[in-house]
Amino acid sequence: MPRITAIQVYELLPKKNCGACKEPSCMSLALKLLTREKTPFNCPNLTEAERGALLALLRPPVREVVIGNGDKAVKVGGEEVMYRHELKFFNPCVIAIDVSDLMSDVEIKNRIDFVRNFSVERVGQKLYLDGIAIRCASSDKNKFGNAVKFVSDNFDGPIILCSFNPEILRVGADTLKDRKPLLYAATKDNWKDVVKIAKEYNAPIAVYSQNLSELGTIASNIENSEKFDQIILDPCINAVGNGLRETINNFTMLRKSAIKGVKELGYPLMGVPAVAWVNSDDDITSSYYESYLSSIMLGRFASLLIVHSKEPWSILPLITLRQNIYTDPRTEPEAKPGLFVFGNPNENSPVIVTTNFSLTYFTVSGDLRKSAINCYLLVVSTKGLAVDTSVATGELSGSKIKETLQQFEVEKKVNHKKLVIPMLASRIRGDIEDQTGWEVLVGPRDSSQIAGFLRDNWRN
Amino acid sequence: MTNDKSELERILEGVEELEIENFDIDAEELEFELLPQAIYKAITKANTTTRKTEEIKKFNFVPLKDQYHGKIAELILGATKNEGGTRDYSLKIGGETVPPFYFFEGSPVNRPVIAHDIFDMAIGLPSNLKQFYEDVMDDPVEWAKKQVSEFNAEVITLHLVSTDPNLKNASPEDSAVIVEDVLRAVKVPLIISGSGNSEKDSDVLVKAAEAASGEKCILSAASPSMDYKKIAKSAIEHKHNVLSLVSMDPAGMKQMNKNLIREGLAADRIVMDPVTGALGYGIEYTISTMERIRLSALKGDKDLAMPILSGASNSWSAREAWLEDQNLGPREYRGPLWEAITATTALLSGADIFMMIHPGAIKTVKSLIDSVFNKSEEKNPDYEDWLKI
Repeated sequence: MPRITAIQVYELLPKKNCGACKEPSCMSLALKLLTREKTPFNCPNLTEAERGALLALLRPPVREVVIGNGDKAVKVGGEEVMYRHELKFFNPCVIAIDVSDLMSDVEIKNRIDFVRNFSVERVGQKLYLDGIAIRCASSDKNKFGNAVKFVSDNFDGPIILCSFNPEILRVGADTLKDRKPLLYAATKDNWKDVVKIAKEYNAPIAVYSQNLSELGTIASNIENSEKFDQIILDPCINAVGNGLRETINNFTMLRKSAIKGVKELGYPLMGVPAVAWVNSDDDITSSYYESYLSSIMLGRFASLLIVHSKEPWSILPLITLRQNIYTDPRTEPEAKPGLFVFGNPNENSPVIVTTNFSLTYFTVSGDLRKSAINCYLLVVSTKGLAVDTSVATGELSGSKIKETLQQFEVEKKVNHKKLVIPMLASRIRGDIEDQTGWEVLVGPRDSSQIAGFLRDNWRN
Repeated sequence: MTNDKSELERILEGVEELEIENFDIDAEELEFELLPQAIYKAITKANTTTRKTEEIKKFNFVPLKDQYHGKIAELILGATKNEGGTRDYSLKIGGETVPPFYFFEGSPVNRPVIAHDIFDMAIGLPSNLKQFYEDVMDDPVEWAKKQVSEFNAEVITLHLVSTDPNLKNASPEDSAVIVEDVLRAVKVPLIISGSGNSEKDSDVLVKAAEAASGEKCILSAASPSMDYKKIAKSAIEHKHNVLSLVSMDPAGMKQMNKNLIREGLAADRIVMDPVTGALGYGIEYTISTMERIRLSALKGDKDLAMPILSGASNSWSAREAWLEDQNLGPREYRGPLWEAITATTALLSGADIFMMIHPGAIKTVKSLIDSVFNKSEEKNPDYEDWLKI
C-alpha cells in the first residue's frame, strides 16, 4: 500500500507537461518522483515554496540523515518500505570501526589505516568500511580531545563521537569544527545539552534509550521544540539470550512504526554490535560473534553499526551482505553477452565459456584479469541465470552455444575448435560437442582455478 | 456588590487574584502602589507559565500490528512406532501466522529445524570442513552416526550423489540399500536427496521412498524439469513429504505446488525450496523470493502456504568460505561464519528448515534459535559499557 499517491504528487507540479525534466508529462515525473528516480530539483518551473511543499510530501517516512561533509559525507535512512522487494532499500547501512581514547596513537593509527585501506571488489563495485567511532573510555576531556584531533588529522571520512557526557562531546565537536560528526548520544538526562551542541555545529544526534516510549519522546521533542531533525535512534542491542529476541523485535517494531507514519519514530536506527566485546574472554569468539550479530542487524533495519573487530574475515561477510541487501531488486542481473578479450590473445589462445549472470561474469572476468591469462571469454546469454541453474533449466545448451559462436564469429578469431566449459556445465558436454562440432574441455569448478587448469591442460 | 467591608473580606478570603469586568474608573489622576509582595507574586506566576510551555510532550509507544488472514501449513517430519515408522520422535515445521521474527504480531509456532548433511560417498570437501568428517566420509552409516552422537543432529539429509552418472552412476536399487542402512543406524527423521540429475533423480527417489516406507521422510526434490508425478505418486504411496524445488520464482513455485497437489499430494506434505544463493552469490534473490512467498501465504494464498527449506550448505560454493587467502584471514573462522550468515539471512526471511554442514555454523544458528524459543538464563551486559571496551 503506497504511502502517498501519484495524484498527490501530481497536484503539486506545474501540470504544464513542458518536458524540461526530460519526462513526457508531469504525471510521468510524478511517478518517477515516487520511486525516487528523479527529484523535485529536476523541475525548473517550481517556486522555492512549491518545491518545499513537494519535498515535504515526498519526505521518506524514515528521515534521511547526513553524517560528515563534502564528498566523504554519508547518508543513512531515507527508507520507504519494510521489504526490499516492495521498492528498494536506499542508503546502505554505515559500518564504522571504533577507537578509544585509551588506545595508543599507534593502535589508533592502525585502526584508521584499516578503515582507509581494507577493500574488496565485488560485481564491479569497491566495498569498504565507512567511518570511525571515537569513544571516550577515559572520562577525561583532554584525553578525548587529543584522540579526536589525532583521528581528525589522519582520517577525512565520517566520524562518530561517543560519550554520554555533553561536555566531553562538546570538546570533540569543537575539535572537529565543521566536519559534522554524529554525536552519540542524547539520553533522557542530557538531551537538551547535546542538542545545543548539535545545533551549534550542525552535527546529527544519536538518541539512545532502551525504552521505546522514551526514545520517541526525546526524538520528537528535539524535532518539535528545537527544530532539529537530524536524528538517529539507538534502542540498544542485546547480544545473547532472550534479550536478542527483544532486540530483533524492537528494531522491527520501530521500523514498522516509522513506515506507518508515526512521526515520533520516523528516524533511521543504529546499534553497537561491539557490545559482544564487553566482558570478552577471547578475541576470536568475540570477533566471530560480533560479525554474526551484525549480520542479523543488517538484515533487520539497522542503518548504522559500530563494530570493534578489524579482522578481515569478520568484516568481509558484513560488507558483502550489505551490498547484497542494498542492491536494487529492480535492476536486471544480466551482463552483456559477447566475445571478450583478456590480455593479448592470438589465434592459438583458449576460448572460455560462461553465462551472462552478472555475478558470474564479474567473478570470472575478475579472475582472468588477475591471473593475466591471454584468452577469449565467450559470454552466453542465459537470461541472467548462473551456470548450474541455466544448465538445469536448459537455458545453457549445445544449441545456445552454437548460436553464440556464430553470432560473435568466434571461428574467425581462433585456428582451433576447442571450448573450455565450467565444471558445473559438464553434463551438457556431449550436447555441446554434438551441436557445435567443437571439442569440449571440462574446466575447473571455480574460475579462480582457470589459470592452473590451462597451464596443465591447454595444448595448441 | 456590597459596601459591607467584613462581607467583602470574607468573599475575598484565600483569593489570590481578582478579575473585575466591566467597570469604569473616572479619575483625573491614578496612583498605583505596588507592594513588593505583589511584584514577587507576578514574577513567580510568569515563571510558572514559561516552565509549563517547556514541559516535554510525552510519546507513548504502541506496537502497530498488521492482521494476516493466512497461515502456513504444518508438516510432520519423521514417524514413530505409533505413527507407522521407526523414528525416535517426529518433528513439526511451519504453522506460522506472522512474518518471520515479527514477535510483536504473534508468537512463532514451531522451532526451525536444522538437518545435517551426509553424502553416500566421499566427496571433495574443503579442508576446513573435511576436518570434521574425514574419518567417516567413506561410510554413510558411520557418517550418520557421527552426526547424531557427536554433533547432535536432530535430522539428517542423505545426499545420494553416487547415483550421478558423472560420479559412480550407482543404481536406484543400490542407493535404496544405503537408505535402509542409514535408517537402521540412526533414529532421527531423514531427508533423502538425489544427485541433482533431473533424468535419474525421480527413479532414485522412488526406490528410496520404497525403502523408507512409512518413515515420513522428505523426498528431495521434485522440480518442473523432471518426472515429478512419479515422485508425488511414490510419496503418497509410502507416506512421505516432498520438497518442491523452483529457483527464485514465486509464480513458478506456486505452479509447482499446484502440480503436486493435483497429483493427490496433500498440501501439508509439501515443503518449498526456492534455492538459497550463497552470501555474495545471489542471497538477495533468496531473501526477496522467500519474503514474497511468505507474505503471499500470510495474505491467504494457500498454494504458497507451506514451510520453506534453505539449503544453506550451498554457502560452501562461495570461494570466500574455503579459499586460502592471507588477506582475508583464516578460513577456519571465515567458512563457518559464511554458512551461519547465509542460513540466518534465510531464517530471517522465512525459512523453517535448513540443510547445513559445518558443526560450528550449526551451533551458531542454533544459539539464535534458542534465544528465541528457550527461556534463557544468559544475561546481557550493560549496553552502555561498550564505551569502555
